[in-house]
Amino acid sequence: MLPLSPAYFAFAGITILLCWIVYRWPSARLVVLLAANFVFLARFAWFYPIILLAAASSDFLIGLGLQAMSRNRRRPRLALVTLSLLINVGLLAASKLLPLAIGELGRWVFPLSLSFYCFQSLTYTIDLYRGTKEGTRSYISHLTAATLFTVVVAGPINRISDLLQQLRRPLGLDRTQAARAFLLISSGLMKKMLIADYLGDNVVNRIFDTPTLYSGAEVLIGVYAYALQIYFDFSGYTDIAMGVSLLLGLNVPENFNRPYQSVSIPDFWKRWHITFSNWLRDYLYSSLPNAYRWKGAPYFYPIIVFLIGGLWHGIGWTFVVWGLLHGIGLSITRLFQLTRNKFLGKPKPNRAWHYVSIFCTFQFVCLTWVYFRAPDLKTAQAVLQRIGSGTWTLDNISHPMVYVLLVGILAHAIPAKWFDKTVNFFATMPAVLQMALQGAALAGAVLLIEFLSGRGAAGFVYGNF
Amino acid sequence: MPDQTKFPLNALGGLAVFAAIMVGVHFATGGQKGMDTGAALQPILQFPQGRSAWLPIVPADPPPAPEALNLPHPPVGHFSGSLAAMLAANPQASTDYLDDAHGALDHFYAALQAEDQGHSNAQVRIVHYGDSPTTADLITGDARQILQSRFGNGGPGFLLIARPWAWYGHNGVDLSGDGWTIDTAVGSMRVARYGLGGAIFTGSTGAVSRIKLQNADTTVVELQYLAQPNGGTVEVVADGSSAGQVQTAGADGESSAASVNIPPGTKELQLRVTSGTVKLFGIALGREGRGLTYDSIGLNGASTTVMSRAFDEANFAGALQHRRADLVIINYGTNESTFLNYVNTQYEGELRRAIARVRAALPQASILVMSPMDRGIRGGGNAIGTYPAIPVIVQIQKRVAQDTGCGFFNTYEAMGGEGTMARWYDAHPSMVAADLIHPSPKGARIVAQALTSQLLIGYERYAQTHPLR
Repeated sequence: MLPLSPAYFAFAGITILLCWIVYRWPSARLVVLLAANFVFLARFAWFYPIILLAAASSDFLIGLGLQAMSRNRRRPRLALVTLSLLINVGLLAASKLLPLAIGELGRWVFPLSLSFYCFQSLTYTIDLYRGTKEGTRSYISHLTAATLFTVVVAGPINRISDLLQQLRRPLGLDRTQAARAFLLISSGLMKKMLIADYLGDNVVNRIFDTPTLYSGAEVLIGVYAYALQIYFDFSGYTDIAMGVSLLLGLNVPENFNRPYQSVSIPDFWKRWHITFSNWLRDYLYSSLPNAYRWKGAPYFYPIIVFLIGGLWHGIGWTFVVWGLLHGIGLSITRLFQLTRNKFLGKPKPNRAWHYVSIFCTFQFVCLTWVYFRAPDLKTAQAVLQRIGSGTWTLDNISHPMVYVLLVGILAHAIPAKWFDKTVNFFATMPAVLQMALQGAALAGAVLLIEFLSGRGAAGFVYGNF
Repeated sequence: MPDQTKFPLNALGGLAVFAAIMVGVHFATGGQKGMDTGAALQPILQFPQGRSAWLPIVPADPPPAPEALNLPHPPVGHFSGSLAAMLAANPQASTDYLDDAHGALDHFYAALQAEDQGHSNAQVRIVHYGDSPTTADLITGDARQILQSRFGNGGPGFLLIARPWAWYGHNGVDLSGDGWTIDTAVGSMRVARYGLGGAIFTGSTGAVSRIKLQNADTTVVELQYLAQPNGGTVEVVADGSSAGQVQTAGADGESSAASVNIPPGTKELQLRVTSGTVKLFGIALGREGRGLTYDSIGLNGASTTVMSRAFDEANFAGALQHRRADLVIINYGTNESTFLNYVNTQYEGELRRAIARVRAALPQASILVMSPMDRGIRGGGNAIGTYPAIPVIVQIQKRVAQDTGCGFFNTYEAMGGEGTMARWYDAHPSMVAADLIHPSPKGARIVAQALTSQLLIGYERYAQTHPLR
């Protein structure tokens, strides 16, 4: 029952209606949500509700301990947070390594990735240890927040304490939020099923499966197509997760902000998978020794952080190279900026340089995507060799592919304020008209997808991590 | 925030409108589109069953390994030692997926035997007609490599002049072309002369094809063309030096061919139109001496109708006779599977007609009907199943092959039967593309191994009962 399947939306719809029925009573909503989380997890395997509720219970108890102790008691507090780390990182490592330990990686799968659960859960105990957020004494609240079905598959990675704060309040959903939720779900569906799946099925998968059958120019287009596919796939999923969460009365954070308009690698990581990069910064980078005091930290620590970030996606050399490239890219950018500012001063804004920076950053990101997408280093090498082969025919790039690529580029460039204006347009029209139009807009999006794509959706790329 | 604790009536209204439209469309389209509430609600409480439902990880159900896939890899070398030994040890080794009860493949096996024992200087030629996987030389490329490693490399085989279809390719060859007007049997779906490869390339002075030969294993280039009264000239350039010219002038509408020798070790060929206008079918890349060639003739989006209707009968027969094929493989069915009604009413007639055309052209040659692979379709709850028409097509092909004295290879069953593409799609790495039709290189290799191992068992059996005099 992955997001996007009809069953998922039916399940989410029932959960939303039940939550609305008990909208005045936060405790009743918690019971409904927790039951929904349990059912959702059990649909993958009974193991998941059992192990995740057990892990979340451990974190809850550790959280109680951390709340009970004064901040002066450093050692026991450190022991507690270390225990939480061991549980969550152990769970994460087990989910990645167990298939390897049992046998050939390709023969075993985890139906549900635990990567997002583990990162999200750690925010609770680490925040409490640091004393930066408030905890909870409500067991059911914590279990509900930690296993929230709308985000457990592929994020966005929330801070548990933020979710807890929202769960304490009665469900509220004003007209603007309702309009935003409907539009998010509609846009997410179209991003995923009209753009990402089309590019994946027709361009990316074929070219990455057999790169040697294509010209260098075609393979290059395949890499660009993958850049668009993974963006629309993941941001489409995120939009749906945000929209469904909003209908449940929960705000979850945004994950993307036009990442391919980034002017540098650090800028890219402020715009791409934002909750993941924030997590790496707030919980990993800042935990490294003397992260904000050692002068060498900004140049060495990003490499360590992104190496681990790469392995978070999966155990494999391609993810190691992907992480290393980004880590080295961040370090070199910082070094370049430092040297430039020292000798030449901070440059004045320059439109031409701005576009050159966007172009160069995009090319670098696409280079890293080659390793991210390729099943192994050999294929990645074959892709890069084809690009460098100097063959320029475009026989295999059909007109519909070009149109979808152009639609993708244009959709990526749409300013955020256009979305907000559309939300306001809906929210300020007569209430009855808004009801009809927002329902019709969502139905229109689904029917458009049904008529144009005709098949069910492929799984989410980030659902695998 | 006055709205914050009110019942979200507005959102409820939106959901109600959405549901009403979707249910309405469902009924209006006879269940084809819109929301099937029953199908959407039913899977919600379908919890996993059995012992594995309690485990964190589950085996990714590798495709079942039928006997055909458990065979040792076809041996490299000139004698079939390991297969012969395997057959001696296990005389019951089956050809469950290859139906050759009445010696339909004997001509092909005899050619292999003569080749194997050095009794013939002729090459063994296989011509494989198929649809999009064949277009990309998937399956055929692996089958070629396996069989050539056993019976000798006769060269890359037949190749089109440029890439007319998306994904057209040929293992070991990098092809590109400029300045050609391309007409394909699938594209036009009208009766015309398409030569051996199902396409005709019209080019005037300046049109060029570039062919990079990764293995540098070609010594003879045969240009196949349509002669015209004012036909132009094509120059064959090998590694930058002219190797010869072919004049395409001749009686109007006559299929012709001319060979040009190129130096051993040539890595790059060019075909340049140096004067006039030419109409080319393709080139056959070969080498002198014995060996096996395996022509991959993939027509993207093709169905049996292309062979039974669109190919001009006389021209097609002439092309097959000129190629002197020992085995013609007819491997269509995937594209027909979308149309169940057509399959039930018309498909069999088209298949019989296609076979009859090949039989008329090459009465002695063996014909092998190769069934389509499994084809996946997403159904309720996003589950992947098998296209309903695929098993129907397989049964029709099997029956028709028996009736017409053809061999039959059951690709569908050899790869695991119903639901194979679901298992292949879920495998890590996936063995089929997301369209649930096109196999990955790994999946294609499995099918090629299944085909070639069954053919080789059949051949070893033949060789044991037909010693060469």
